[in-house]
Amino acid sequence: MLFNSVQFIFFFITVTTLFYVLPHKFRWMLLLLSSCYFYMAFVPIYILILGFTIVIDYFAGIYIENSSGHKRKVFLIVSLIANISVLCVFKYYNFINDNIGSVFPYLAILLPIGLSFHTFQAMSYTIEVYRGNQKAERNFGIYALFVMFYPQLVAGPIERPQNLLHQFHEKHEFSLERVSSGLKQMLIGFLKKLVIADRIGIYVDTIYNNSATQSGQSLACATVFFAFQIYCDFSAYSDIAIGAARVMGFDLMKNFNRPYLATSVSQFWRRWHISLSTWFKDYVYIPLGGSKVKSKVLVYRNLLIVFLISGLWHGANWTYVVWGALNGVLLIIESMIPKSSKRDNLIKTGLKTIFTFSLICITWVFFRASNISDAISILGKIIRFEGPFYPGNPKDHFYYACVAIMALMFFEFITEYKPHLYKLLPNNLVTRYCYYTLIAMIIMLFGVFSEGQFIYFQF
Amino acid sequence: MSKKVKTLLVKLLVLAFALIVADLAGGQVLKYLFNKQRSGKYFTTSHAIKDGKEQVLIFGNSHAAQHFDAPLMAKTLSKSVFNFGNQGQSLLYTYPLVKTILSRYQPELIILNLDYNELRYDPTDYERLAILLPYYHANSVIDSTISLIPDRAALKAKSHLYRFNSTLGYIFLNTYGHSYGKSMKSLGYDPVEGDMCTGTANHEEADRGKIAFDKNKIDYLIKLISYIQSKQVKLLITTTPLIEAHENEKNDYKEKLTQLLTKMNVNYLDYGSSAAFKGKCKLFHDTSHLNATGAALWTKTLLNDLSKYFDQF
Repeated sequence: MLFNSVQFIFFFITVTTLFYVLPHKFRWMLLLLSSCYFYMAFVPIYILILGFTIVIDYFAGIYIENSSGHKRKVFLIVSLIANISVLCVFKYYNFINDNIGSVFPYLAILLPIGLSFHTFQAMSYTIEVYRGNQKAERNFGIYALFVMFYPQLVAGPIERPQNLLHQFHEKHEFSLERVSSGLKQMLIGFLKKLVIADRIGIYVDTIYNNSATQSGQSLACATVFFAFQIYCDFSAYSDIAIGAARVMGFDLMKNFNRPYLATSVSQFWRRWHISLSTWFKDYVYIPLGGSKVKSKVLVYRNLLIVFLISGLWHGANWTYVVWGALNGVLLIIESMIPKSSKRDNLIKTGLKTIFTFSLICITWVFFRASNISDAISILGKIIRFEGPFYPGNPKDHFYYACVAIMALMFFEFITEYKPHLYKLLPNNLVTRYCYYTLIAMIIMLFGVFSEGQFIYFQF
Repeated sequence: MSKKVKTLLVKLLVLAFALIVADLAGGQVLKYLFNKQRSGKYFTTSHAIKDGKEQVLIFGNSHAAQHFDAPLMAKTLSKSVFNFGNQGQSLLYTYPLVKTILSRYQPELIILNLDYNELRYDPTDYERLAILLPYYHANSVIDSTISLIPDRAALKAKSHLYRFNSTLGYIFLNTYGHSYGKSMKSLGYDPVEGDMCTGTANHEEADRGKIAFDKNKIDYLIKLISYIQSKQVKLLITTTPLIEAHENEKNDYKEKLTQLLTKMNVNYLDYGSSAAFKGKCKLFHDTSHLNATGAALWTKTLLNDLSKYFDQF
């Protein structure tokens, strides 16, 4: 079920109402059943894959906790192999097979929605139990709910068991403040998805789907637009997920923090898809030694490994691998440049922000292009920056997109650098109602209601 | 019920009320602005639905809009003419417009331009029916056509604001900006410049994919012809010239279309393979669209042929 569908609105209202009506001891059952229904609205049969990993990881967690010494590691490895195998079969089989000369028959399978998200969340559970940071969950239903909690099931945030699991045991009293704040975040999410991401997407698709016949100027514009499309699309999902969970009293981790205001690539990665970045940091980078290794070369190696895996996590295509590698290389280069202890002035900060954004846009070309040769050809055209510029037909999508991007960046700038300006607005009921009504009106007037899928669902 | 829940419900009710009022008021303001447009695709549609009363009417997609020189026709025939053709639109759009017009008055002649593959199933034809959303509740034919738009658009159209979704730019450009193509002055005719000889013109992609007929379109065509005939309005169906022979795939569609038109005893003027136009790059903007020079030539050809079919033309 898509967040931006009419069904979801009815689903959300029903589940939330029942959640508060039911006694606490039945709530996890309601959430589990509704999460199953939510997931099965996509491709019902794929719930069996989820069921398989849930059963393995549930028992693995208990066995890890009950065992000692070498056995603990064995159970952890069994759990990790099971999860990675599911990923390999459903996500990477055809990719690997293609790259070894199609030795095995082609598998005509659809990638289960959100597979990489819930697999990574499940792995974090067994790893944390192994590390002793989390007690094994004895209630199978609650463990299943931890993996399947519908707001974050298909596109994160990828939660850690220490943050989420205990919340299913706690009683959540109805809180007017939390409900209001959750609904507000959901509304912002819908605004980002329907008005900005999907609107920009129309222009981006027009240009990128015909990249061979498009000019460098059009492709450069489409690449910048794609940067905002993917940000608004993905952060919108996170906003709706975090908001929906908050309405029911659950706290999910923040996933985005104004990434395009980052003044360096490393800062960008601390602000972009935070739940995945920290996952890689905790479970790959630090176990490899992180930055506390003997030589700089090893630090660079660790960075490159993390970003190559991150690229592969996103998709079974060389474009994602190159995208990951490019990000890794940028971080390595950045870490070689000595940092100044002086605080940057506004101009220098602005220039750094634009430069970082430009670098990130270059990497997005590989993320968006269908294949490596297309990406290289697109980059070549962008560098030559030849015309003529094509604003699309009809042109209004282009103009709407420009206005939407400017408005987004204006509010992000205020939030980042001048948050005190918000305090100048009167904080009373009338102002708040005007604000909500205005957002609803903007969505109805400028939203794209084709119920387009979220980009990150494919991962 | 706890006090907190009551407070929330009251707040939600007040918010819902505010949203309904904003929707109604915003919808009315937009409707007012929308009706002030002087050109563009919505202007043409509004003219058909509300106040058009010309004697000769032309319908179809961009091939109608860009090929039928309505001012030239009006001058030659000494009759009032209007070109209701609209870019990217299909029979699904034409049918409610013709029904609405014929329920208001009886024109002398209707020219319906159809492509060979007019009866092909194309999901985008349904999405493009969103052009009719601002006219929701204008009449039952329009409402039933709106119900064909995917993603429950008819349900969303309950919102007055949603009916004007993505139209604000058009409204301002066609009300306060310079005139965009189809206007009262051009009688709906929307010529395109540039020819294929310069090498900069667009080449349309050939149709690909399997043959799939659209039952709704077949149904609409039959109903449309029957309705025009029942109202005793003269009807001429045309296919405008192409620069080169159509792709083989189109033969299946063409055959079905010709069969249907023959069966319904309709005058069909097929210029799709006309030698007078074939290969003449100076007359074409792209492989299927005539430029202004080509459109003038086509219109003259049509005017010469009209008398063969109808005595008073």
